[in-house]
Amino acid sequence: MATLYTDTDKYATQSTFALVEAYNGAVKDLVRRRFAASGLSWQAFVADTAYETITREDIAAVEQQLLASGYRFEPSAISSARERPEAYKDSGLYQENFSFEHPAAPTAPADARGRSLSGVGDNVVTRTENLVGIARYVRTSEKVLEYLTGGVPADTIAIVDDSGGTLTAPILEKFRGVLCAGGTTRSHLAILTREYGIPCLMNVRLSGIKDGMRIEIECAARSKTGDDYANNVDAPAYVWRL
Amino acid sequence: MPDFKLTYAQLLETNNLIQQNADEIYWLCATRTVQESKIFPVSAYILFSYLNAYYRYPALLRKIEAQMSAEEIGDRARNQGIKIVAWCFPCFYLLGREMLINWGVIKPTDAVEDVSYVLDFWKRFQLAWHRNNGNLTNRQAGHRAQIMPEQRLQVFHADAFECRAGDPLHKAAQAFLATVAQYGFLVSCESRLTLHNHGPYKLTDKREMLVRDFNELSEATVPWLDGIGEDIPYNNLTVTMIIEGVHINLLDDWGSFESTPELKAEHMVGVGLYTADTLSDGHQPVGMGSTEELTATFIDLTERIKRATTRLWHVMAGWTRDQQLDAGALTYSGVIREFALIAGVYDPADWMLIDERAERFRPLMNDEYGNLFLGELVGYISTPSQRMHGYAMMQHTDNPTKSLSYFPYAMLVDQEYTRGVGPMRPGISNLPQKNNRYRTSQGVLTLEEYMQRAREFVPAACTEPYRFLCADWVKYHYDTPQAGNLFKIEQRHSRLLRDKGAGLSREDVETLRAGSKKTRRGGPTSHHQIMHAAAIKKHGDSAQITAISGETIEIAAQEIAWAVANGRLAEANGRYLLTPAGQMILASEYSRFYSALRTNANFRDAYARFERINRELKQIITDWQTIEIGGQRMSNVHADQAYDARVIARLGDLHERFEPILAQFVIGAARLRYYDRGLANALERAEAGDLAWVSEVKIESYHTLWFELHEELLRLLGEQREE
Repeated sequence: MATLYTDTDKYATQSTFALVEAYNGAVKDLVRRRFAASGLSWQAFVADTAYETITREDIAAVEQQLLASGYRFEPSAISSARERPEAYKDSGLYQENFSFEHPAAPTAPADARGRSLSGVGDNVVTRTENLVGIARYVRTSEKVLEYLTGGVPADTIAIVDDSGGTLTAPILEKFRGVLCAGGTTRSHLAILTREYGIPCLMNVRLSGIKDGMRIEIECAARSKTGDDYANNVDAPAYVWRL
Repeated sequence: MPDFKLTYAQLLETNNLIQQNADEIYWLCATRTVQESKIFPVSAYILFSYLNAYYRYPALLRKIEAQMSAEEIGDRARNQGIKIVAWCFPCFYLLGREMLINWGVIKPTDAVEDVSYVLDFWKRFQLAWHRNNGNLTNRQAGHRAQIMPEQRLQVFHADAFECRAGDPLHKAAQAFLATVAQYGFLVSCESRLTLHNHGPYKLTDKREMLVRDFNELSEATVPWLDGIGEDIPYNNLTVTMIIEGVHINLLDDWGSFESTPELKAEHMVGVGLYTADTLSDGHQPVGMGSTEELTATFIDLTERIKRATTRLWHVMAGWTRDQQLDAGALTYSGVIREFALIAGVYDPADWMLIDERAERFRPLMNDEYGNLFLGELVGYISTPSQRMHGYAMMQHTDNPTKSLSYFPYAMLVDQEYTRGVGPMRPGISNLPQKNNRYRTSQGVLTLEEYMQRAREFVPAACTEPYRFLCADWVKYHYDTPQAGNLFKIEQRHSRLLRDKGAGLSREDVETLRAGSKKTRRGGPTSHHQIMHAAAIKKHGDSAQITAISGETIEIAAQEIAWAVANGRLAEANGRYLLTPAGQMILASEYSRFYSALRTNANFRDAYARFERINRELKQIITDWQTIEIGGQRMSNVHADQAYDARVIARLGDLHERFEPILAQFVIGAARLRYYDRGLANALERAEAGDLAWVSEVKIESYHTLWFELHEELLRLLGEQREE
């Protein structure tokens, strides 16, 4: 059996993520087998035949190995789960009464002002005052279309999954505020909300906030800078239910 | 590329270029989480694009370079602005290589000629693009991007319109910036690849300028703007943004910036708008006739872009995942397609298709694997190929890792390497084919027309001899006609600087912006004139020094204050004297400023005649000061009016003969006109009976001025006084 150049590696450990190691290992296995079967030197194999001997069908078979065992991928794009429900997990995009329940979300009972701590994020721009508005999840293109056609309800603080400025592109400037469950203060969405002058917290971890609730976001908190990320400096901006 | 020969030096350099990128991968990615999006499978398409770049860049770059060298493309890019290629171009390619190494599909010793060629192309492009700051990357410059030459920056500086938070221009510009940025993200499939910034450029103590490029807005190279971008009259727009009270402390190789304090809308106090492309001959102003016109232009463009955004959103939301994957991957791997546009060899088959060698890996490009593998490659730096020995400490993380694999030097000995991935292979795309309409600054063209014109067109700044007239040349030749022309090329469309030439400083431009007509400032010449005047009028006050210097009151005051503060002049009770160092500095400057005068035959001839007439003048003054009484020369107490009148008449006669000599002096050195007025004034007063004006030392009498003029001439010509 032939071995690959990278099979002997003094320093390597496996890839951190199991899925990455599983797929990368399977591709290596494929190459190893095809190289052995070719009977060629590596130079001849890689230059002349590797393309023909490792095909799209081979790679599709690699992907199938995991799916066949019942594994389902974590979706990012709406289209992924929509087109291949058999390959992706259901992330509750169309679920009634949905709420983010992030394990790392800080929560606390109502304080003296009646505010229940329900989450935390990274503030994009320090404002003079916190913002109060109505939480509304905007997670699907259908929801964006609805708002495009009928208008965005007043005082909407949009809650979006990740740094996706694109999903909300046509209606972004109609939001009073934005909570984004991914990204950093240097992400695309952060740049956009900064340009539009819309209060925004990135990388929010939320719990117990459902569509239609009145919430306050701490956009008067210190904004989180690139240095803060690089040096792991905490700069929390909180979210409360009112 | 000629016959490939692997050398140690070449491997050393290539590994260095790899490492330049490797360190920056982590730094750039550390402050951004792995990108996700609801519409686009972003991480998956990014990985897909890396593979496409790996398989296609070597052939595409060679095709481009057959038409135009990398360094000339760098010159053109500097002249017209370009998308963010700096980091993307080599890293997309090298990360594709890293993926394939981790899959066992290639070894670090494969495609050695390709890798070294791609990095060499990148190096030459970058060095030319960064020519004005001498760095390879923004990273090397401490995260700063000073790309433009003075002549372009002066036009941007001069012509930007003032605005303040809340006024109509400010509102319109801010709305435009937000709208165009969002549209740009959408056009580039939720990436920042169509947005770019460079700068900062210093304008005043409080102000900096950021130059912001928004590219691919109209009927561009991507098929998804067909029928959507046509309402937008410019493919590329550049916003010059003047900011006050804020410092851009970081501008990275992704064209993103950070500032202290954080940049807010109210920091913008000036704005301008331009368009530039391959055929535009630099930056052409857009709506820059007046504040009102620019405001209306921003509002109009914002409306057009908003309509296009909504239409494009509908198109993209309806795409299949494969179409999204293709569009994103082609946006990324096509980040350098502008090189092909510049060289006039753009072909959609080269840039808008996924190479079949990359395409075979599509089934692996699911969302989760995309996020995790990309995260390991650029964020965690944790794939097996990236691990190093335990003593190693990676920049920024101190972990025993490196982002990109080097070339192993052992291949110099064992020769076990392969040269390249070979010629282009067919490609596929799930997207509709692009129509044959390309928006340029010369109108909407077919691709054939566009490429024909691109191959023929050379921007004036890139023609001989201007191409190689850099800032270091301008520094020493700003007063030449050629430098004037170099600047006038940039000033052709400038509201404030048209035909002003190369002599203006940044401060002059600021003065012009303030609406003042006075553009002269104190420079080497002004400084010299003040010092010289102080030498002539010893213990003179500022008014006297100013008068002799020929400088304006403002400039003279500045220069005098500077000279006192810096040890050139000593001041006592409002009067000035050169310090010993000041005298020495001044003495060495005459040969610099008057070398031409010293060889001017007419001037020298006039000086010879002056020396002759000077002996006569000395006799007249002696006769004025003394009188012969009884065979003795006595002090003239001016009791003999007839005697005095005869002497003054002789002085008048001498002055008439002196006038043509002085006229000759003035032709050579205009500032000497000062003596024409002064001497005539003194003579008139003396003739009118005010006897002090002949030779009194404490006033600007005829003799005082004559003596000072003589001192002038000796200094200018480097002669010694005859006693």
